[in-house]
Amino acid sequence: MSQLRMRALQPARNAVLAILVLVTFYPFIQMVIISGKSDNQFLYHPLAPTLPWHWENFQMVLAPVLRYFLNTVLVTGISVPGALFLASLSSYVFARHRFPGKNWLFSSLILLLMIPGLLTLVPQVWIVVKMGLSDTYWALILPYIAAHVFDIFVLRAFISTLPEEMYEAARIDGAGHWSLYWRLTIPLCIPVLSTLAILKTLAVWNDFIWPVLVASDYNTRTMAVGLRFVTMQYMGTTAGAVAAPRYGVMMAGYLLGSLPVLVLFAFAMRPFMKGATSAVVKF
Amino acid sequence: MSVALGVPVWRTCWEMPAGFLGAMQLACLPATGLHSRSPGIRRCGLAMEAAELLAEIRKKWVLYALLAPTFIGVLAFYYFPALSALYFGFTDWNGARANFVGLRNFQDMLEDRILVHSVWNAVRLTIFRTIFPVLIPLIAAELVFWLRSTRLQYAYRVLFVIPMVVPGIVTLYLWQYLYDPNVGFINSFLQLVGLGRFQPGWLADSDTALYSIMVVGFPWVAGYPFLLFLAALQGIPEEIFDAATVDGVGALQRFIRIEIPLLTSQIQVILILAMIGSVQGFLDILILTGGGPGTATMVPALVMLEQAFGIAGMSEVYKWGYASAIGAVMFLVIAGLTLLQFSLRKRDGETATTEGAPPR
Repeated sequence: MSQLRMRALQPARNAVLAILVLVTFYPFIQMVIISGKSDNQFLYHPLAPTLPWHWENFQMVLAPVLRYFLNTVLVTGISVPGALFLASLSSYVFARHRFPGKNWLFSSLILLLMIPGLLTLVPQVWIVVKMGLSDTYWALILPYIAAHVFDIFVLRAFISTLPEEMYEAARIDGAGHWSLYWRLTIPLCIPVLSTLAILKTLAVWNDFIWPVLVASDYNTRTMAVGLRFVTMQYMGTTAGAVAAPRYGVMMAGYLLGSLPVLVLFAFAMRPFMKGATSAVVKF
Repeated sequence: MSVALGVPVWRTCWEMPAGFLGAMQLACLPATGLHSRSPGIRRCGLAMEAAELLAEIRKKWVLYALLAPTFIGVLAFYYFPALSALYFGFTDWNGARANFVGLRNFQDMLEDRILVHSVWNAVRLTIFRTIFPVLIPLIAAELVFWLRSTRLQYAYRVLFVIPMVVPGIVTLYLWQYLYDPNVGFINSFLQLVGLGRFQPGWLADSDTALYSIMVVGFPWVAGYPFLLFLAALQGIPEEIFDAATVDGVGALQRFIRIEIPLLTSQIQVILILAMIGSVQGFLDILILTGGGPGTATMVPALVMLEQAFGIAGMSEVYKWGYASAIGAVMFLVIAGLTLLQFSLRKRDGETATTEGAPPR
């Protein structure tokens, strides 16, 4: 009889889920709808889709958003491989070797997890400014590369499951550290590395707080920071309302800004879905 | 810094992915391969051991060289800043000079009315943002888990992942649009359905601002908690559900008596991370209201940011010593919360195993 009740409740369940999806997505749907509106269309029809579609909105934000896109690609393209390279190197060392101080060193990494981001934020900005790196790409790249401690934990756990015989055989064949690492360990780590790469790419791409503090100059702005400037530019002034916010243009900017990651997601959906769940299950 | 996972907004609980939690858990794992020495060597003198140690280090210098980049980065960007922050909390640091002032910063904190008010805001926000963003994904995961079609299950998983991919700042700006008092979605919709006389100021009105912030992220399903709960549910062995069916357990009973107890550890993890995230997180408030109107939505994290950089680095305030002190106190609060959770977990962990629940 509980089976019967379960079956009867199915439509209710499906309805609730469908509503949840709709409510979750609606702001994004509205974003698309508004992105094609002129200020006039938006004024008289703030909610419903309107024709004709105003591509000028997109034209107006295309140049800066493109620049932000390139900036972000540069930063991400260097940071993510850099971070994962260092992480895999250190993981290889921790996972397959014994050496004096190994426990101390590894524990010092674990200890890092205790440090909340908020505590270190001010000194981190100070360090970067003192090194003369503010408003340069390095202000972003170097800290992002340094942030691979989590990846070390994941990779180390994985690499330590690899069979020792494999390494023995390779050593007997005369393989040195580099070969053991590059030709033996790395190829086997590719699934884990892809998952980490996707997660890290998203994290770097969407990061806002750090870039806005150290690299908000136009030349080095990443997408997230750039979109803030787009918003400020078209918001009109809030005090005294000199001009109404031009949501059409802003939404066009947001849409363009989100496209790259959405495209990435579309292409990398399978590994991403696997990665998102497994990363979370690590807890 | 927050890019370990780096997702903002209500997902800030996933910053520093494991936080203290991970540290505690990892610390409880068996030691990572401490090598044993044969009794013969152990019997040798201390001098022999030291010389031997040095020799081993010299022999394995490559390993240390390979580890160097990681540790240089860690020292430069994590340890040095953390220790500096703790030190500078006792000074009047402003970027140029730093004179030791003892506990004056902390005294100032107690008298800072904005800070005190922000703590009250943070408490209210945290209560709300710990309950609903954890409860609703749990229910949603339950609903998705019991769908009969696996393809539909996968479809829902994808659908609830997509909003996570969109840059957090876009999502926040969309919410800002929703809340726009003049042309935003909510007020326009109210006009549309004839409730036009209700046009609250939402983020612009100090009475409604804090509550508006609380609701941001509705319906909170798209996010890591949902994925985690779903994965955990999928990890429950089939036999338990078969036994439940045989015993004639209804759906609601099953949810309350079987599934939730089995998910206790995940629920606790999510709860504590949500709490920590709410205490630390400020991006949503920064973008949506900047702490205003007035101080209606100020939280300690924002006070700290403002004392250091002005809001979002737009103006220069430079009270870095004071900001560091605030950061240090928040660090202690977060540490306290995590230790509390950890001790609860340990206690529950023991009960769980004695009841023979499947290992997580």
